[in-house]
Amino acid sequence: LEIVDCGVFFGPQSKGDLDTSIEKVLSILDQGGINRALVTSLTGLFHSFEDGNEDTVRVCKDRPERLIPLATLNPRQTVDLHGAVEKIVDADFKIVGFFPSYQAWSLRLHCFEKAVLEVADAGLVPLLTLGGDPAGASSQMEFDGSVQLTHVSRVARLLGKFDSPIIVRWMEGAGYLLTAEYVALGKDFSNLYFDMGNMVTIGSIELLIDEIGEDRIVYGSNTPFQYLKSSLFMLQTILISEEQRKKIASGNILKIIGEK
Amino acid sequence: MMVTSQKKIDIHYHYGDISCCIIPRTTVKAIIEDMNRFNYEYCILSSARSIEGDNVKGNKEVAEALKADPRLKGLVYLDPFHVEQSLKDLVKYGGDPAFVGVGEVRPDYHRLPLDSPRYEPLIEKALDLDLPILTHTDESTGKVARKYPSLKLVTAHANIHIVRLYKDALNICFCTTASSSAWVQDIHLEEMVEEAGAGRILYGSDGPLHNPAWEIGKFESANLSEADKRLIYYENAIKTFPRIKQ
Repeated sequence: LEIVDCGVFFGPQSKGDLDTSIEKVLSILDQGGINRALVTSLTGLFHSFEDGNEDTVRVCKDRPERLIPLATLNPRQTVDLHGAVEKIVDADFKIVGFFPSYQAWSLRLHCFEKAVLEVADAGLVPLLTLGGDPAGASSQMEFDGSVQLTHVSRVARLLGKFDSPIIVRWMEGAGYLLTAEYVALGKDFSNLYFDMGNMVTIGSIELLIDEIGEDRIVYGSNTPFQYLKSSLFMLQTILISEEQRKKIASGNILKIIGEK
Repeated sequence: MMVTSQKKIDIHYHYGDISCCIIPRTTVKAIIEDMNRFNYEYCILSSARSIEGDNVKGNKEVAEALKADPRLKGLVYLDPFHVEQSLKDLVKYGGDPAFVGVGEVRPDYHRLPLDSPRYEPLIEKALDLDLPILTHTDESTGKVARKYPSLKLVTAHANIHIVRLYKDALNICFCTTASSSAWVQDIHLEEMVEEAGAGRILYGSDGPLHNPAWEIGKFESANLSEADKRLIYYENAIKTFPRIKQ
């Protein structure tokens, strides 16, 4: 099964003693048999999105067959959103990740709306990662993943005029809360795609597939922050056809980034 | 695909719907299918309905479900706001060999710590009946363990922080189901095993809220020996809940 993981991180972090070096991350991906991964520099999440994007480009350039660069854009860190997006386009990124919980800002911010419109207008794919490390900024209620999830429909509406997909990911433990909202969002907004990696309730991924189809579901593991084989074993054991599994494991995300 | 060939006992599995979310696979038939998929030799059920209000009906539903397959075992739920009724259920189901313990008691849900006077007669009855207690961990777990040194307590949702808090209370075992946290740097399975000893760690999935694949994946990602995993997946459950094999 070819697997393209759309939630992998590397680089320095100070929220724990976990080894998040690119070497360690690659060894975890090897153990899980992950073929390719969308990777993001933690410097981009935690410090400076511009520095982080440079790190991501550098790391991916050395391993183009393995790593796909995922840019970040912190809308509170610049007034020149157009210029920031131009730089991202120039660096050949295809997807831009937003991490509101980690960076302690709300999806309701107007500067975020302008940023995500710039991203879509440039033909880039926005990826919203909701939730965050419990030790981090998301412990404030407003930045909790569940609260951020309530704003996704507004983002989907905002970008409705573009042809761009929007990927929604989850980076907290309590993924059993997601099912009903993912189904409701997925039915009403055909531009939304969902990561199954943290849909932890048994049968919930199959239910989402029954309701919205398998073409808008992707796989992400949150390596190295979460145990890779947790999401991987779910991907391997969900009760679906092998054709459906292939789409979720790699086909859908490769289509989004224009490789299929 | 079978994710591991090791046989397992899941000590933490709920029966019935839970109000916070959609749970698609709650029927006995689905639970048995999932036991087969994940190589379970036994699965220990406790009532979700009991936690959320109707303990009489909840325990009764579990007792009915256990009749479907001898590999299903049960825990009696205790509601500290209905002590007399809970005592009756303890005696009634404590005499049923299909019930192997008490739990998952939820001091957090009832907003009543496990060391409160309302729990006292229930804990003492469980002790009389030699029934171990699976409890949602809170700050009162250690106090109860110290007060009743011959009581076997299993803390649900344990991680390295819980182990460090309670490792000196030798009547406490640690169930790794971590519904609230999936973070490697919070759980630290290898360190849990190193500090508590593999003989005190138990496997539980918190199914069907959680997919067993998700929980098994944690152990299969961590750097643990096959011998340690055998203890965690299976042997420690037999030791802690000896009625499983009776």
